[in-house]
Amino acid sequence: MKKIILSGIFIILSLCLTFGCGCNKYNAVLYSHAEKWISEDFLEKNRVKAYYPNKDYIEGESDPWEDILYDKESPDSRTFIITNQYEFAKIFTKYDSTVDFNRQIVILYIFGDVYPARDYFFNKLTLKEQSLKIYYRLENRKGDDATMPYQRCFMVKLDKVEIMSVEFIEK
Amino acid sequence: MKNIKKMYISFLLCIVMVFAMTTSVLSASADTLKVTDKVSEVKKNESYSENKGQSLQTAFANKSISSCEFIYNLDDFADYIYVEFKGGGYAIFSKNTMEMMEYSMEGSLPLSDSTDKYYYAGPSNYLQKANNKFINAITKEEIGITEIEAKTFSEQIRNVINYDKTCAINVDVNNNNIREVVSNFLHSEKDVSLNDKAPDIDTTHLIRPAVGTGNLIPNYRYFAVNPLHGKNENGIYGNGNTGTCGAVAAQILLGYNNYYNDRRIIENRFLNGYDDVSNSVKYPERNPNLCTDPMSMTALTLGTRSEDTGANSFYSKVITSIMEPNTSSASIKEVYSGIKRILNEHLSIDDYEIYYQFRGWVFGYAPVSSEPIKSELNAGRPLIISLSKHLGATNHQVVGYGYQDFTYPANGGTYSGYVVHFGWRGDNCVWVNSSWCKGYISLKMNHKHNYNEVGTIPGTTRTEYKCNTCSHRTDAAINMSANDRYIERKVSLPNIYGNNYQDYYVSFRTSGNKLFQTFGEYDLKMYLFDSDNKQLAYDDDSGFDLNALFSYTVEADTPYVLRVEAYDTENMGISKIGITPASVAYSTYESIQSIYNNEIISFNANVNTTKVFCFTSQSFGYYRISTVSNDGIDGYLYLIDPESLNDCIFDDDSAGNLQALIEDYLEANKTYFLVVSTHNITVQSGNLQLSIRKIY
Repeated sequence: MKKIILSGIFIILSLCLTFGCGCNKYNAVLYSHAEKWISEDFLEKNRVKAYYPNKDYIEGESDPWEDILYDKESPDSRTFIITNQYEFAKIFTKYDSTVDFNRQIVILYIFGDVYPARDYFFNKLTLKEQSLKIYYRLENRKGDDATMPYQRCFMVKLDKVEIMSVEFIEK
Repeated sequence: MKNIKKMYISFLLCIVMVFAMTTSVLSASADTLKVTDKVSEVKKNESYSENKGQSLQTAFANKSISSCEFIYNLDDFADYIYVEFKGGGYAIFSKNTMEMMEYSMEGSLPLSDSTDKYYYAGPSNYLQKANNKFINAITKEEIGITEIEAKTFSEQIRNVINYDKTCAINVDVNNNNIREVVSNFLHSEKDVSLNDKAPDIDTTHLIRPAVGTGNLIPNYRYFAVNPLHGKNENGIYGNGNTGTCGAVAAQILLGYNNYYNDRRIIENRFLNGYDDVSNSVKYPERNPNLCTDPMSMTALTLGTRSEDTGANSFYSKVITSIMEPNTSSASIKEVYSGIKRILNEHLSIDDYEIYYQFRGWVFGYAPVSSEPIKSELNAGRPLIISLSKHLGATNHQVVGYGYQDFTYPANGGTYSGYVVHFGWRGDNCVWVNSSWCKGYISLKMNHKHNYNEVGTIPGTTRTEYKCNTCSHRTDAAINMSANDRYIERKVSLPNIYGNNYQDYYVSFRTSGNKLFQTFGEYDLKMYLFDSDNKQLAYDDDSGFDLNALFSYTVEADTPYVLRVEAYDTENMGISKIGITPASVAYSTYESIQSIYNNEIISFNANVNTTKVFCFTSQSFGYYRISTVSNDGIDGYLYLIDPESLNDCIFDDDSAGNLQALIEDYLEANKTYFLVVSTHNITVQSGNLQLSIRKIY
């Protein structure tokens, strides 16, 4: 029995060594559906290029194609570096845990996504000359499931580091 | 102690094996990347045909072959050819199809100049055998592949490669002719484009060509109007489903085929205008089966009910036919199966043909061949196309209705692609790169419309025709019955959609030669297409003046499309079409047999045919035209003024003794068209005479 357990541990360790994501740097954690925690007012004010419900749409009267409209004026994405509780609380009004801003910072990334049913994961994190690059990848799934671009949010919690810029790069 | 040692060694072996596998995967990937990088560099230095991009033949145009030899699939079949070029460079082809597996313009692989046998397991995977086990040919490391695995792998690869016969060579390649075959192929005129890496899709900046441009199916207007369809938004639809792009594509494809090809596919309750409370069509103008004008094309008459859920939502029905409850996404196969379920509710399997193709992972991801997709589009049939994130797009299904090349403004690269309905709000005319496409579903409906005349469309001068099987409606049907001797239709251009052409659904109860002509003052072209949009006949100016004329032998009860098109879009108006089962296949108006004043022409009137003549009146006057029969054959006569838009003049028995008579003023120097036949052409035949005489 002990042999079996130890062999299992060895195999798991070897797999982790091979396929470990390398994201333990800065204890970074990625939450890939953070929009559920964010105030609607903030989301409304920080739109990105995506489709949004048309508030002026009247069923039966308006053109049936105008129930959802594409916002082509907003930017492709927005990134926020949040370093204090005050700013965090204003944005993440529905977040029911805490962030220790003495030791951590939060990065919010808003972009137009087409895969609402899938998660995203860290691939790699690099910090060079106060420029943080966050590489992420999409959950692999079979089948076709792309939707119209909608407003999606990443929340990244990581150790407090000095950064002047953040770039999110999908691998 | 011994046991701990064993476990430690096992652990080390695990690490080594895992890293070995990972390394081989990574090195394969790295080698593949190197080849791709070289392709990119080569692209920059070469000049290419603008529309067709880089071709294999172009790439190797200045290279001569140094050596050719077979390399083997894992089951010892010589499935591949390795070619080295003088001055550096190599390529590996599939032997049967000459599909290129990998290549480089420089260097070579360590596979030649050796008596050893080499095996090929895909780009950068070169193997040999040692002690009957596969080893990496370069690193000499053993690779644990069993005989059964090798056999299965080889068969699957052969199936995939041989299926996609974009350039099958149909030559038995052997050791005696291998070099010649490869050389001939490389210097052939076949355009084999390399697998170039196209730019990725940008979903925030989709490429939107001008509506109506490209090689589009004839009924592309259906997509231009943008039929109402379900939302493909981040929401919940059907039975708790998300990621419904496949269902939206299926909804649009079925809606198209219901609208044009078979109105039995979708019941009225799934079409717009239906009221669920009263269980009736409350707004008939939203329903294509009931709207006043059968040609009304709006988002509502073309589309289908698209509520998120509900028993009468067609969108919801399509979702639940394709997807399991509370799931996300649908594969090509699932969409194909769901479409079949819906079709089978009201149709038999003989009423349609549906097919799908999907290209999964085979030594990496590659697009599905564009040949079958373009073949469907050329046949006038839209189809579902599946895009792939692995190929640079998103995992999404769309409906293709045309194809065209596109030149990226940034890098200037030109790529072939498809014009599609993207399935998103407002994105009904989007260009997608053909290299992003991993699969498709094609659908062909076999139903042939059989129209009956309904009556004048209220508020218009047009006539409605309705299929007595599926209830398809149109204002442009010509059904020539067995008894019809001559048929006329008025053509008004531009048509109600503003097009400079009008299409007619045409069918004939009897087979045989038919003479088609246009009449009127405008310069017209005329086409005849079969149901696969293949052009069967065409003419521009062989008719009277600048009118069109051609003869074509048709099959009975076979659908055709007759198109009349204005040559000059600045000069259009009302014209006429005339069709008759002429006994002679004339190709010009001038070649039609002439009859002269005071002449009596005797001829044999055969079953299912008419006799046509041209008469040029030398002077203005009142003329008598009649049939004569000594055998008691009942004659019938038509007189057509080729410049007039009035209905033709016709007569049956006014001359007495069952003979036809037309008396009318005819203008000088105008060549009139005459059609003469028996009264009942399906059964009567015999000798008839035609006479023309100027009375005064």
